[in-house]
Amino acid sequence: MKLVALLPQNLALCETLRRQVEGHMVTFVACADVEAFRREAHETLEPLLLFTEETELQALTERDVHGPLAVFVTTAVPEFLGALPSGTHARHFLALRNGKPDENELAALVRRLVRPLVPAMAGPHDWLHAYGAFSSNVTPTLEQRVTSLEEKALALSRLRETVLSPAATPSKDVRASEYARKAVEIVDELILNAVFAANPRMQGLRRGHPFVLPHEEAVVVKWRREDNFLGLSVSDPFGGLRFPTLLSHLNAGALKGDVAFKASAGLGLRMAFDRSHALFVDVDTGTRTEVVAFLHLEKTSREFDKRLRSLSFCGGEA
Amino acid sequence: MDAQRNGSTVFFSGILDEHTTAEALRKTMMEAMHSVQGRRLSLDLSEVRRANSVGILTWFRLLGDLAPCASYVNMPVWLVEQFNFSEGIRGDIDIESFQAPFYCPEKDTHAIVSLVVGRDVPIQAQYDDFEISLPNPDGTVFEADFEPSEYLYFLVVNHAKLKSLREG
Repeated sequence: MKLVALLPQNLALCETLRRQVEGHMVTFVACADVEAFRREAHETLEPLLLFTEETELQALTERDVHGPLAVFVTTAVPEFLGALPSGTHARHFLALRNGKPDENELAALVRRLVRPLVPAMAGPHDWLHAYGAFSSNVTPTLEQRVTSLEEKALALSRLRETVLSPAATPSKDVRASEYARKAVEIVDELILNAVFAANPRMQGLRRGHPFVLPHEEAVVVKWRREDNFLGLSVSDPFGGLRFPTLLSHLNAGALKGDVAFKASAGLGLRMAFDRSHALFVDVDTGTRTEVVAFLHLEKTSREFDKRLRSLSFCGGEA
Repeated sequence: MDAQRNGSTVFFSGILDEHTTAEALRKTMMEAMHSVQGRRLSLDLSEVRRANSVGILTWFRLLGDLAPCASYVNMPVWLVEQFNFSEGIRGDIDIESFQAPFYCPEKDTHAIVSLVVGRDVPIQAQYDDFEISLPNPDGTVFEADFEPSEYLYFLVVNHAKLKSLREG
């Protein structure tokens, strides 16, 4: 396969991408403009994976791109989604901060997109391993299966302890408590969606309804913390989430109007997105949906809030 | 989430989630609204540790049904965050005070501080150039650990809503 970088204004970013695919049996090609990309796409028989910037996206038509399309953005993702060209194949939106992507996010996404096309990388993608900050394997991934409200409470309680545990001073407890709250809120929303929106048997039930799920319908919660990086994963065994649904909940216009009349699932997804720095949705249609959130536990709330968010929707093909 | 009335203030505590039912809160709220006899009711959610979308919708819908003439006092950070990304404050509800994060770089310490609207934070059309810091007795300073233009946005929106509501 070929990874094509259409990033004529950002040579440093091209180099970052090239480094990411080294050793993955992927050919790296940098195109100077859209015409060069069209020639490349026309002449090659290999699957293409295109990375570009938001300034180039408008020039690419629906017919130009057939494989995965990732866009580096400097606009806040909800605003960008609201103005997404109709028919675009763009599903991956990686935030640029000072002209650079987060290499942890980039590493996780490249590995996920390359995986189905490289036989040597067979097997499921482990997001909490592929994220660059976690590749050292120093800390374990923790896991809790959720089949009832009690197990949901247990998962949230264990997660809270993980985030709070390294706090050494009372002052840092304030910061750790805020991060623990954000982490718990993200996972709470994702579990609710996995139980009451993803599971066809549960759709239509009030979200406060007590539930006991059979083993095969269990929601799996995983989390991992290493230093100031936190990864959260919630998966359901249904694989029903679609990109248009995600788009309708996360674009800037989704929360206009009286929120009291919004659906809980949409509000929950937006809450999860706002509280994390990167949200990756990975769908194996009919089999599994995994939503993964990554957070940088910055020294101050101001730094935490300042980081632009990334969003990616992988898989989901019919 | 539990509710307890003390004079004209209703104090809430716990977690606002799917275990919170509107029925449980409605009785306390209605008693409080009756007791203040037309005066403004104070809603203090500072002891509510967090909320999820189910609880938030329950809360917003309850306030929509009861339409109290009320003020939020000591509004916690999670609720400020909520109001900043959704248009959630309905009806004749203003904000008397709210909590905000502060950071002291010299001592590397964090604090959550309650700010009074009008005294600590004036009502403005926007907060792009707004600055606030809190001196410590030892000469060090707590700096605002938030971006004023974003964190204080809910004040702008709510003030515009109340102005429009009161001007009819």
